[in-house]
Amino acid sequence: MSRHASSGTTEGALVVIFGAIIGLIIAAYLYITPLTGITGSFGAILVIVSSALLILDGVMLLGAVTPGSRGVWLTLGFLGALGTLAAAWFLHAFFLMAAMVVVLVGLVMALARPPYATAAASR
Amino acid sequence: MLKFRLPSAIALAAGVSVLTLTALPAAKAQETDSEATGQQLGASPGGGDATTGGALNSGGNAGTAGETTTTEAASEPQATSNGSEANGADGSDSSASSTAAANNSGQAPAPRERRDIPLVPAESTWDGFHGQLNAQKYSPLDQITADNVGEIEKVWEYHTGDVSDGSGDLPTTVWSATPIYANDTLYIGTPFYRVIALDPATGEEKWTFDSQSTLKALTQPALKNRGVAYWEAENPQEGEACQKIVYLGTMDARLFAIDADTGKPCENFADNGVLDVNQWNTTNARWPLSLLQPPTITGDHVIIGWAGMDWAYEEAPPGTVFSVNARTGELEWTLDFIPEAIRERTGTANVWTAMSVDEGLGLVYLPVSSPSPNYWGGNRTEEIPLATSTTAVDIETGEVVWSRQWVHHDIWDYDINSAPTLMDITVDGKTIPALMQATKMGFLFVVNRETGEDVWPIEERPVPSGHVEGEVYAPTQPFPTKPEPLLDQAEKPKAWWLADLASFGACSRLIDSLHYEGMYSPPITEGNGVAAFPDSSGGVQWGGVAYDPTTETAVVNTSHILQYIQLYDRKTYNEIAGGSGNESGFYPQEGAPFGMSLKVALNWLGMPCWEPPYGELVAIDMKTGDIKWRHPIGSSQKYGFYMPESLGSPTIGGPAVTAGGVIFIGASMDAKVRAYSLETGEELWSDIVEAPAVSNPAVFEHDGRQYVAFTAGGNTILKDQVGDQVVVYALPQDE
Repeated sequence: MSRHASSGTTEGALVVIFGAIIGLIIAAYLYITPLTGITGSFGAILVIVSSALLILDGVMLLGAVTPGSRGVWLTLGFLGALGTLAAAWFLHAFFLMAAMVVVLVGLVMALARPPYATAAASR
Repeated sequence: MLKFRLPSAIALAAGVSVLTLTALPAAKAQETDSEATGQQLGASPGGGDATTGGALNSGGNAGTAGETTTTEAASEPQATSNGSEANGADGSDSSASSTAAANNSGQAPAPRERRDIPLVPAESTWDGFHGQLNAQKYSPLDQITADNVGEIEKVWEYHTGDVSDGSGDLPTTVWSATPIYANDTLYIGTPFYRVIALDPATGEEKWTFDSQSTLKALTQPALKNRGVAYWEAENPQEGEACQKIVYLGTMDARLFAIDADTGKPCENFADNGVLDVNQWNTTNARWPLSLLQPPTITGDHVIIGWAGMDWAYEEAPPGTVFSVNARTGELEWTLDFIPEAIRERTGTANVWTAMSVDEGLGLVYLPVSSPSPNYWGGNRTEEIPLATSTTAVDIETGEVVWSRQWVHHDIWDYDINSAPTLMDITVDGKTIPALMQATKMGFLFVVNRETGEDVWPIEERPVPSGHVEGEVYAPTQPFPTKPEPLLDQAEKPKAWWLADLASFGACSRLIDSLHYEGMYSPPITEGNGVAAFPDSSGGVQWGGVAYDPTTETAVVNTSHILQYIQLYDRKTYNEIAGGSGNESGFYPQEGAPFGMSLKVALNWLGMPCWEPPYGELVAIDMKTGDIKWRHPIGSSQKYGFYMPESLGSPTIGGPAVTAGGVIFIGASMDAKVRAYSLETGEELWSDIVEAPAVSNPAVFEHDGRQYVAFTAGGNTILKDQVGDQVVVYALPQDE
């Protein structure tokens, strides 16, 4: 019996990846661009790193085939997204907050669907 | 053992010498007979009487009298104080300068004849560090109002290129220059000691001047500059050079005079346009007299204070102010702030910040700093009446007319650090020519600027004593009864629950361990030391108080910062001393028996351990002395993270107010510039700039359009963010 991620998980993971990429672009922009208020700051580096890790989390979620690994990536994803959301709030990076909301939506989508579909079940 | 200070009379008899008039070239000099050159001095610690009163009855009032040396140029010395008998020369004068002896007097200075020069210029003026000589930072311009300030936009910005974050060969820069508007030009000094002349409408360079000054932080933890000064001949001659001059001071004590039209040095000024002020640095000359604050220009006088190296030495150059001729750089007079008898074993008590001037009264008001070393005074137990004071001085002669000491025997580095703001106020139906002196302590002292007398009572109150070796504590300190202090210095700040939680209780343990019996708790050697609240960075910093003369409203920004001071015996200090930053770290006080440390009470995350707010903007009704409103200002920021604005931010820099009912200010950690309603204190507008704007903004009109200019230079006291940006805002122009 082969397993693959359910379509809900796949869609959710793709949304996570999409939101995290947008977040990474925004965070990098805020770090590089003069007069953003957080130009060159440690906080901006932190959200660049956390956004990159969320992309990685989405990719791993996409490939997660066991309930255990899926649970791990969902948990880490929620922690990362909520942490980045909080950091973005303290950085006054409101577009980054919006990107993190997208990531959270993706995570909820992945969470709300059955953990995986079996080949048998799909027949 | 508790020791008390010498009684005033003894100290005075011992020679409280404060005034030195230095002769001009012999050809011009003319000695005069002894005349009384009086002054009222602030309360004497030795007096110890906790009475209420003004300059006259709050303790020892000393006059200075004796042989003076003056010139034809200066008016004949006049008895400016109190009719006291001249004591005559003390015989120690061996050259051109003479030292005055002192006496006691209980009388006000003789009334001064007021010339018909209004305190508030009729025209919009922003040609000095605080806008105008009265230091009101007030603009009568009303194009930008509280209703439309939200529409203002950046018109231009300019980057000087003169910036360093300290990571390379150059020290970090601390840039607090207020742009000045004069001669249809915006003039800016930089921390690399250059002058830049810009078109006010476009920001285009007109010319630049490079002093080629050394870029070493000789006396400071950073390369510092607070801008330039401007002088204009009364009747400028067309086509003649240097009828309008811009002055720039440098770290290595040189004053440059530059033609305001061309940017070329003025050949007739001193040595081809350069005055070596360090030539007058003759006592304890451990470091040069750094000219970081632009001089004060009044009439044809250039009045020069200087900055030095705090906390490093017990013996340092003693405080002086020099007046030189604006055209020639020739020395007109010198004022010493430390009695001659003790000058060699202490130092500083200098004027490192801006001054203010009432040209009608002919007085310049000097904010005088504390003597050295800053946190131990065993080497200077005699009275130094002019230290940590506001001192009113005759512009023409340098004679002290009155003086009020705001901290007796200062061992907290509570320098008087901003120009007093001159204001005419209406109290109980009477118009009073007043001044308000903001202080690091968070007190706002209000006195009559003609006489130095209290407007609202200033009380001498008992303060705690200590037991550090060699120290002789002042038993009382002055406390104003109005306006109320800008922060509560009577109680030790409480631990902030969030910082305490994040530090697992370390914040409350630290604060509990600190000794504190109110603001004037003396430094100690035991435990973690004594809490300093407010700390040496204020209270209020050099931005001072702005004043709207139409509504008689004063506006000031304040910081609430908890530091702790500890003294170490020399052996212990040498074992444990680490590095130092800008107003924090370890400092040797070399020569004294104690080194010291000064640290901000932060937790491991860098969060402030004490309760907010950390900074406020405060408006005071000067008709009553009551607070009109007060709000947290700005947002504290660390690693890019903003704390909620409801907690406020420490501030350095100051406000400007306008007839449009708007307050403009940067000053906060978060590198934003803001506009507030003068009426309510509501924030109306903000913008992000390159670094904290730690000077006062400039408000000016050029070709019929009102502009607001900020310099965003940063200051490492606030955080490690530096900038080189000049940014100018205005309302959009109709197409």
